[in-house]
Amino acid sequence: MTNDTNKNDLQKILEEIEKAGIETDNFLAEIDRRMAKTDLEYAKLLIKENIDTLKIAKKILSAEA
Amino acid sequence: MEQSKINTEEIKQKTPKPQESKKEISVESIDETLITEEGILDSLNKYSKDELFKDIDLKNNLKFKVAGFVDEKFDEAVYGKATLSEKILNFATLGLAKKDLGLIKSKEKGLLKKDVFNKEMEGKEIEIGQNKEERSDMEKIIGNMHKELSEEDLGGRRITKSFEFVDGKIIKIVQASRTEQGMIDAAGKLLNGKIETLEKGAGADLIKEKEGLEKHYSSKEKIAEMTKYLDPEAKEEIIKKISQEEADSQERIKEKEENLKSELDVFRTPFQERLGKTNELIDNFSGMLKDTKEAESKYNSQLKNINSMIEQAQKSGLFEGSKKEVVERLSSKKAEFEGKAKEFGVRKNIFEAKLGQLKNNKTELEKVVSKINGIGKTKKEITEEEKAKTETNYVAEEKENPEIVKKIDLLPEGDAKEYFKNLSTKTRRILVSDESFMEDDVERINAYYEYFLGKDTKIFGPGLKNEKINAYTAYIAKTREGKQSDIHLPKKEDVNDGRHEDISEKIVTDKVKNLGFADEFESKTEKTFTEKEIEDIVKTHLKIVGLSKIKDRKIQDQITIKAIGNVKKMIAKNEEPMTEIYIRKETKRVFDALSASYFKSKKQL
Repeated sequence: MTNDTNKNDLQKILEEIEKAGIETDNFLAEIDRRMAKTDLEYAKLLIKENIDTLKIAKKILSAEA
Repeated sequence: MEQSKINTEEIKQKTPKPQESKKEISVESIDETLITEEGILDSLNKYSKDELFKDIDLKNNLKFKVAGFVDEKFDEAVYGKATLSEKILNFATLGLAKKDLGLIKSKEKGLLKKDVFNKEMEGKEIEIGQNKEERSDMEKIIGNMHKELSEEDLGGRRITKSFEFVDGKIIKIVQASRTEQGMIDAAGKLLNGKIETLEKGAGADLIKEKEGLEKHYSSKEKIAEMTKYLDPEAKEEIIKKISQEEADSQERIKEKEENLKSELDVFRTPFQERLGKTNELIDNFSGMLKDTKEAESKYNSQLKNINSMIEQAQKSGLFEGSKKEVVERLSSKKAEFEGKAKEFGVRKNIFEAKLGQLKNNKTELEKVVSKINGIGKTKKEITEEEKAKTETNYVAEEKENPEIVKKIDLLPEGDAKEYFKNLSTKTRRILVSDESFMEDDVERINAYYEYFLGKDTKIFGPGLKNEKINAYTAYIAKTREGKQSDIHLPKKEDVNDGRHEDISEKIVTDKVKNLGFADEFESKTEKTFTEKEIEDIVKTHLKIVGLSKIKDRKIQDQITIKAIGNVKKMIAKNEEPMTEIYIRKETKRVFDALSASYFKSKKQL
């Protein structure tokens, strides 16, 4: 009885640990997805910055011409 | 040493005379780069960043051409081979007549003739970069030709050489063009230059006009005095003239403001948009960092649990076989968990690095936006705008914190009051609601209270204790005299026995007590508190730290009861009398511990 109880307890503990591991994997996957999305936004901001800079430079040069 | 002299001399001779300065950047070149950049931006919406950046190869449009010289040392590949008869002649003269015969000796290709063109080189473009000496010489040559180019600009260029054979002469063509980044940098410089021009030109002109009108207004009041000896007609004429000039100036200001605005809006809008987007990204990365830290902490506590389970199993009375199985299975899970724990650190480092970059960008952008917004504005206008902005932010931020508003309202009008309103929300709340937070931060204490105490902070010296600060601050706040206090503290050097602080404290406390507002002072003094006093202090402090934000009455009561209980236990354990500050600290600690799960669950909802 004691051994069975211990085995059941161990099984339960291992299941809980397993569940925690899966939750962590899910969390990491989700955070990576969020990171990729924000990285993309960041990259777009940098490119947009270049575009804005070039467009304004063009306006300045056209006005001077 | 001698060699380098020769090289410099050679370079000078070889360097063609400066050409007429060409425009560094052209509309056409911008158009080409724009097409590519916009293409990338469109693609970014469809594909991953890494995939796209592989293909970025912006065309370099800025070119500098020089022609007319060939470097024997680096360009020998351009010469054709000597004929057999030339080789014999060279041999017959023991190689001494090489120069006269126009021959050079190549290690790899043998004897070469300088006026013969190696046809294999025709149309070939060779990048100058592998040989540092050649690259450096070429940068010097181009630098001499185009003195407007900075060292940085030159170093960032792609330099190439190619050769043509025209009218029996070998012509060397050198091109130096900016990389795409160099191109964008040049456009950026142009923008900054334009902003500077607007600031120093139209902006300064507008300020001058505004200040002139301002002076006019202040002198206008004296017009009655100035014209009192004039006859009514002359007086009327002068007043009419003044009004006309005033109207003209107002009209000019309006016109100049409109013109300046339309010119500055070209810059302002993109910079403001960029700032907004940068703030958004900062929020996103901060959120990810926070979530990762929380997940990591949860994960680490699970790891601790596994460790403690292993320990328990090892100490248990299980049969050896079962014990071994339990320990082995748990250990295997432990190893798995430990391996994964590193993943959090990797992500935290990434988020922190990105936040660092973005925060730097934000500071730079704020500087530019503030500069643009300040162009054409007088100092008075800028101060008024900042004050209005601070007031708006402060009122909005502290709408639900009457305690903080009440405390700041107590302060005399002036720098100190503005300083508090201008602080970041978090800092303001910490500093204003609970000074005990600053106990261990000497630098912050001194910087902060300098606004209250002015030069007297330095008299106290670093590490000023809160008891003294609070007494003095209370005094200043109550008397509303600001920095003009009538407390005169002795100078350190005038007190020989090292009791300067004690003496200073006594002077301050006596003054405070004499003024009849001992409450503030008493609250920082060691004493034995009654149960009622303890309850009152705890309840008041709970209000300050935000108990009312918990909408569940039951939780509010639990926290209050727990905080009062803990404080009483703490006082009972301590044999010495306590100060109020410790009661407040313990109250805050209990509040933080018990409210955390409530706020977290609210956030998740």
